[in-house]
Amino acid sequence: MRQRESRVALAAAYQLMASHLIHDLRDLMSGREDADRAIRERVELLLDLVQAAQRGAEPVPGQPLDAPAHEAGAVREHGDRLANLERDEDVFDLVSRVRREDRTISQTKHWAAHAESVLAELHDGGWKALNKPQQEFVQMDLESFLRRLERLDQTDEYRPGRRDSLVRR
Amino acid sequence: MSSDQPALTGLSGRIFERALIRLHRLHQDLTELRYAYRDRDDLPGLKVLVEAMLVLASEAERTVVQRGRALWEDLQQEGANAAEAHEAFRDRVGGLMNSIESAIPSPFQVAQQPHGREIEALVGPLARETARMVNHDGPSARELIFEPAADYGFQLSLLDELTPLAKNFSAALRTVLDGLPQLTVIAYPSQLEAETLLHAVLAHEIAHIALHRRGPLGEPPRAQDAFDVARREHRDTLRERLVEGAEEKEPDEEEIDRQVRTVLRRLRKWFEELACDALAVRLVGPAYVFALVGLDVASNRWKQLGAMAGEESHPGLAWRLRRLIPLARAYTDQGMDGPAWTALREALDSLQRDIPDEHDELTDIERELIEAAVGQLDTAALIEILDPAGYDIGVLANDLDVVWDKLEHDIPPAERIAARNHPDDSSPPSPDTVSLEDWSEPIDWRSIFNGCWAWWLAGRPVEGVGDGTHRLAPIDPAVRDQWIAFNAFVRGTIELGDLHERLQSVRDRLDGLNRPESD
Repeated sequence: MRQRESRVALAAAYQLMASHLIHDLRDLMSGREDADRAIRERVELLLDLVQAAQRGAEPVPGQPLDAPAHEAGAVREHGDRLANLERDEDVFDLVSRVRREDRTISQTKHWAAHAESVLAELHDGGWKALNKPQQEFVQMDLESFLRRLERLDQTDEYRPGRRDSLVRR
Repeated sequence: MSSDQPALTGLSGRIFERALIRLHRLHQDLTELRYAYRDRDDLPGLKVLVEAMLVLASEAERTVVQRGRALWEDLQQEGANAAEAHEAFRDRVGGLMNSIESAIPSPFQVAQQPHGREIEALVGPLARETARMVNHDGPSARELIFEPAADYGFQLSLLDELTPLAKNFSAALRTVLDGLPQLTVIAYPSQLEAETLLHAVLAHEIAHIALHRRGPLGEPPRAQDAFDVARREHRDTLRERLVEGAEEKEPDEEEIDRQVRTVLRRLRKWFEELACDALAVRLVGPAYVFALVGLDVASNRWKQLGAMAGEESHPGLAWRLRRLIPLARAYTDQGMDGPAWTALREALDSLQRDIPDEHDELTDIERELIEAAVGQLDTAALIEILDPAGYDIGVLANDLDVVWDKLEHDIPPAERIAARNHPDDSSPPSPDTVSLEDWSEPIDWRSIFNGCWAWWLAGRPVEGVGDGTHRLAPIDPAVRDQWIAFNAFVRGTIELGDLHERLQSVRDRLDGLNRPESD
């Protein structure tokens, strides 16, 4: 069982992913490295980020404990969801911070949902599978998002040395 | 630059060179730490941590060199877009360096500072108690790292400071890091290191590990379930109250949801602290309550005020103590007589009388939710959460009078003599005729804690030390020096008991090689 990562460590991982992905995406656009496993893994990391952000935007998980007892899978899933609740909320906060232009929860959530659909398409079908608006989204919107994401350590919340995972009594 | 490294020039060359120098320095520092800890078998957690950082630093170094070579090769190609290649190189290497320098400082700082000598006595017993718990959970190894800090605290996994970063490196690195044990940091206030009796508070930090234990089939942690049930029952009312309390007639739904989430997050943390308090009593007995009071009473802060430091995570001391005293009484109210039992009971009675009638700033519904969640953690649930760790009430019943009796005779209460006990009118048995297993046994370290707290609270260490004059302060001035001296005595006693425990374990592992020959 892995426990919750610190915000700084989580941000550092996403920063590194962003600094690579900016150029990975350019490579994809120019038709290069379509099959590179490392690129696919980084796209998966970004997908994981936007999915977590959407989960973190939910007010609070519903009430699946009311589900019939035989639906053990649903309860288990709910348990996992709760276990990741804080991480998802942290990721949501991270995305909101990077997406300065979004003023509300639903705007950030909407952007993350759109990013997820484009990235899923890109992951499964490569650059050519994207339609024109999707390609523009990657070139303009996603790249500027990644540019800000790679500088997260310059914000107070994610500055190096901050040890938020040490919980003082 | 050596001949096997590409000779980059310009800005990329500068970045390449500086990155390699920094990573090399990090590697050197970590290698020195590895060397410094090479013989410290008592610091397994720190050794693992240093190895993990070394692996990560090596991988980062390898990646930078690889990127440098790739850039060099790109530039050699005819028609290559040099500007684009340089930009990609600089972003990637710069990103890597920024990430390393974000993620490494805090684990590196922990690795540089091993725990102090005075906490040492407790490291073995606490690590063993934790191991009893996590070994039961299957192959989820866990090592404790005791960190001198400003305050008590915990971090469930220091390794998780490094693993997210590893997602960007090779699969082999991830496999290595995933195979390492969890490294749980237990922080203690270095300025109080010599006040051993206060360190019963460490049980609260250990309890956080218990609180996150999953069931044998990966079920959500039992204690978290308790909160989730209460949350489910109270969430709608909580939301309604927030809507009623909103200034606008028709408040923004999303804003209300955001507030509900914030409140529930805070309440979960308060619940966790109260649950860990209860678990801490089950881990070390009433000593935890006395230690918590000893630690915090001088601050005279009994309730948590809204929007003040600590509100996000902790209830006030008064509420915590009101909940803890009955749990401590379960240990002391067993119909046992004698001065030690009386001392413990009187100390709890007096504490209960002294707690001011102050209450945390919470709404009724918030308080109800927490009470409902904590209420589900009855004794049976607490025992189940800690199983098979925990401090059995019967152990205290068995040990307390022995500890007290030894203290009365100025003997460190570290072991219970069994076979050497004999009626006054008979000769002691010869050691040759007694099985070593029956000869003596260490006294449980928690019984030492509780017995010594009883002794201290009864004022016994101070008796006959001072001249009783109170010219400077209306307490016996001897109390200040005696507290430190008595803590040193407690520390030594726990060390003796621990040594006994280890020797006994070695003897058992040798399977009787040391036993005397039988007739």
